[in-house]
Amino acid sequence: MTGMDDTFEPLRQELRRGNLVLAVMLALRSERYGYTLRTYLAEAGLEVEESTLYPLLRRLESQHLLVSEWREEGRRNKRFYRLAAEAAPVLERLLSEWRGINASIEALSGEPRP
Amino acid sequence: MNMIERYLASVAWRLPPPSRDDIVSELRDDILSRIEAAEARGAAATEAQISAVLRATGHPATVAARFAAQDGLLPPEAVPWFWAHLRALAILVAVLQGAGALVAGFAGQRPEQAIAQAVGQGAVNMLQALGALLLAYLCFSRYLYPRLMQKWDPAKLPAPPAPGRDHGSTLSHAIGLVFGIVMLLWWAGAVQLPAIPSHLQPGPVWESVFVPVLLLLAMGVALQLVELFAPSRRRLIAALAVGIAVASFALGNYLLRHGPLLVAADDSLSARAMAGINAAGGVILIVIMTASVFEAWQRARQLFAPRAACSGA
Repeated sequence: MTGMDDTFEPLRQELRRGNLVLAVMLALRSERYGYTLRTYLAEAGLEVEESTLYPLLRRLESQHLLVSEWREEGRRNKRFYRLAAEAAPVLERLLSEWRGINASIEALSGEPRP
Repeated sequence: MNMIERYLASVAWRLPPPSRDDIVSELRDDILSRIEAAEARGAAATEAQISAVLRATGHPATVAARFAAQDGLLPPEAVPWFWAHLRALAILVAVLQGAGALVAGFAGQRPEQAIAQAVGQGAVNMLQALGALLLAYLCFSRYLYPRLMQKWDPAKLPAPPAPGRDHGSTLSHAIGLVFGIVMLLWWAGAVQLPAIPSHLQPGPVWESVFVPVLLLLAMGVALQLVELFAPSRRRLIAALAVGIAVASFALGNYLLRHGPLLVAADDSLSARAMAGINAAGGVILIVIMTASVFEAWQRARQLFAPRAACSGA
């Protein structure tokens, strides 16, 4: 089934990527910096590469969904991110959208109707 | 400079300047945090461990490309190199067409005609160069680049370039080496090249500079060899480049004072045309000498600049 494995992996990545924005916004309701954010997501079952996460954080910040500041911690400067105040309603709408999609997928995954 | 800093420098030069420092600082913190976490679990921070962390992070070109805009004809990793090579080709075409226009103008052609011909021919040459370069990059990106990305070793990344300089290109230095060897063999008489038109021949001044030119060409080959195989020897490279620039200036000055550079091999060219051709050659020499001064100045600054401090944290 090597051919199907090769097909499955990019699709799996695509599915996970599609949910990453929502996952990051949920995780950043509490302030975190890059490494701790990745660790938190990984513990929740969402492994994400730093080369994916950091560009995403920048993009979300440029869209005013996140805010960040540099602070010194443990002898190094770290960039701490958190959800922007004005992003809370956007997050609620995204979460609602996701629940709707989730319910639809659950319904579709039942017995196929003619 | 340790492996982590070399890695971050390799990422940094591929990033756009406005966000470069920010991105590199964040990557540095992430890499060091992962290494510290591994140490807290009992794994010692050996070179092998660090190399494994860096490999897991990804090749510097891939990491930098994630911060770039997507969906181009070429993969983002290739774009900086493509632009650098295209710029070099554009400069070469402009210099050659400009020199041709100068020679034609001094030889009696109307200036506007010479310029129009140079611009037209230059545009055609540039389009051909663009097409050839794009084709080469597409082939490289599709067939060779994926294999290279699987075999890279963080321990073998080169040291970053000196401050204020662009990052060197292996391909550029390889081309420079081949060109330098060909020129050296030609000057020494080992190979024949179509040098100048049959109704022109070198002036007698060239006989007196045979050995200096030979040494200059040999230094050029030595410089390209060091750039290719010992790129971390920045001071040696700077010293060689300063030597070449100073020697080029001195040689150009000697040729200008003791010319003519070219003489007529037959009666097909008038004295006025020959004077024009030698005047154009003199202008080209002056341009080369001026460029040599700037090159020597920049390289000398590198040579005498204090060594940059490199640390992991």
